[in-house]
Amino acid sequence: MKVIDIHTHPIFFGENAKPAETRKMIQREKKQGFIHVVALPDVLRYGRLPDEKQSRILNDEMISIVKIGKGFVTGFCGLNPKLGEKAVRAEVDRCVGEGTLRGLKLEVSCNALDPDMRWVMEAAEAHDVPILQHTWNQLYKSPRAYHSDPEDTCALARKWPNVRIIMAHLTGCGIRGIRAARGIDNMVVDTSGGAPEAGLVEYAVKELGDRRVVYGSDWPIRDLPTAVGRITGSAISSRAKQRILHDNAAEFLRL
Amino acid sequence: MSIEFYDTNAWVGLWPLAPLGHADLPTLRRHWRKHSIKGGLVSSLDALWLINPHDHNTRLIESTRKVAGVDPLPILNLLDPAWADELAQLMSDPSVKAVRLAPGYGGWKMSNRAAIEAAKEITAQGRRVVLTARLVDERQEHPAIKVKPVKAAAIARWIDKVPGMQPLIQGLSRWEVEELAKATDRFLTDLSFFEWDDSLGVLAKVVDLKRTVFGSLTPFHVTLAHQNKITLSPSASSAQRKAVAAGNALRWLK
Repeated sequence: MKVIDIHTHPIFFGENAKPAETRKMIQREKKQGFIHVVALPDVLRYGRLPDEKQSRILNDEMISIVKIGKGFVTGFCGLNPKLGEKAVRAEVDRCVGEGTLRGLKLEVSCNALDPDMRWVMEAAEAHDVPILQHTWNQLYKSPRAYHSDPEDTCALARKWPNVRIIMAHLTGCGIRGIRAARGIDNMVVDTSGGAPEAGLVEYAVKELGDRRVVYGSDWPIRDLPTAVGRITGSAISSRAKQRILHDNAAEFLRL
Repeated sequence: MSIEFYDTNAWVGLWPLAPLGHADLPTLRRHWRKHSIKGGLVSSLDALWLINPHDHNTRLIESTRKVAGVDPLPILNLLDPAWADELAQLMSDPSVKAVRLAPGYGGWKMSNRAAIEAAKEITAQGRRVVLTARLVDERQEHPAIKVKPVKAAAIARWIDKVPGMQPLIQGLSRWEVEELAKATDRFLTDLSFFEWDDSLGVLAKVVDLKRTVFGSLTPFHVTLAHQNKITLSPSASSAQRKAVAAGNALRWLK
């Protein structure tokens, strides 16, 4: 079965940053049956609020990976929206404007509904690239000022219907997040992150349909065969598995 | 490659905090057959929270009697003042090869003197101890019930105080296994919460794979996902995969 992984961190806290390591990583992914991967920047290497220089370092690594990957890798540009309009637009123009990186990645610099997200969303709309927003259930924690709950990401997607959004981490979003994601045509949920909790993929397919769930691993934090197994081992149709593992991402990323 | 599995971390009964359904033994066995799991240790979720889980332990043992491949894994709650009586009853049944301790759910701590006494008694009887360090990702728990995972340091101190015991510790993360392995090599571990790129390869650097066993954590987790961790490991040999899937656990239980 062909697989596209929409959520990987090939460089993780500085590891695998050398070109030889990147090539080795790509070979391993191909060997495991992947035909394409989305590479997300090493977003927390400098903490949750990287400055302009740090952001450029992280995104330059993505540009390098995309070039080494020769069509195997779609790279996303990491952004800290709190750096303001000028910095955000400059970094998107630099990385995405030339067509090297083809998506935007948002971690925990600010909540998805923060007013500073406006520049990010306008840039995504202008360049017609998708956004991957880290999302996790924070029901009984307090960092929601900068951490996005499923409802925050869903509200963002509703507010910007012309921007394609990936709500990351099915396990972290849980049933609550799946229900919040109903009826949002410009958003998909990725299956990355957390333990392979039973029933969630089935519930997501039931509530959202098999077109709105995409496979992601969160590699290398997660084991690739285990991440795939949470899809192939779920009680959904073969057609739904194929859509989640490949077709939906191919369509969403316009590969 | 065809690999047979022995499941050390399977549960029947009702988990009240998520819509997992009420699994009974026939349901579990059907699930196992579908996944080439030839047998395993089974505990009761209904017994997990009770201070005196005697009735559920008894029901579990009776229901597994004469069912090939299914080994009952009763739970001992050391908060129960009569835990020694319960343990004596469990030890009198030859079908009980091991006893599960789950301090986070039973409401007791590893520093409790009974944790050492019970483990010594189980070991003296020639049986095994299974310790549940984590059953659910604590980030995903119900807000009213904050069960913290058992700390590796506390497990290490407990193992040190029970000579001859080699417990199976279930539910540790990568970092927790690494911490425990620095303190002692006298334990086995499952992979239910141990995950990283090539989990088995990473684990092999800190724990001999002969001390690693398969546990599906049914009904909480997707069984095939955990099986893939073993069967599709890019670094483990065929013999190592087979041993982790079943051989190590069966040898440990003999």
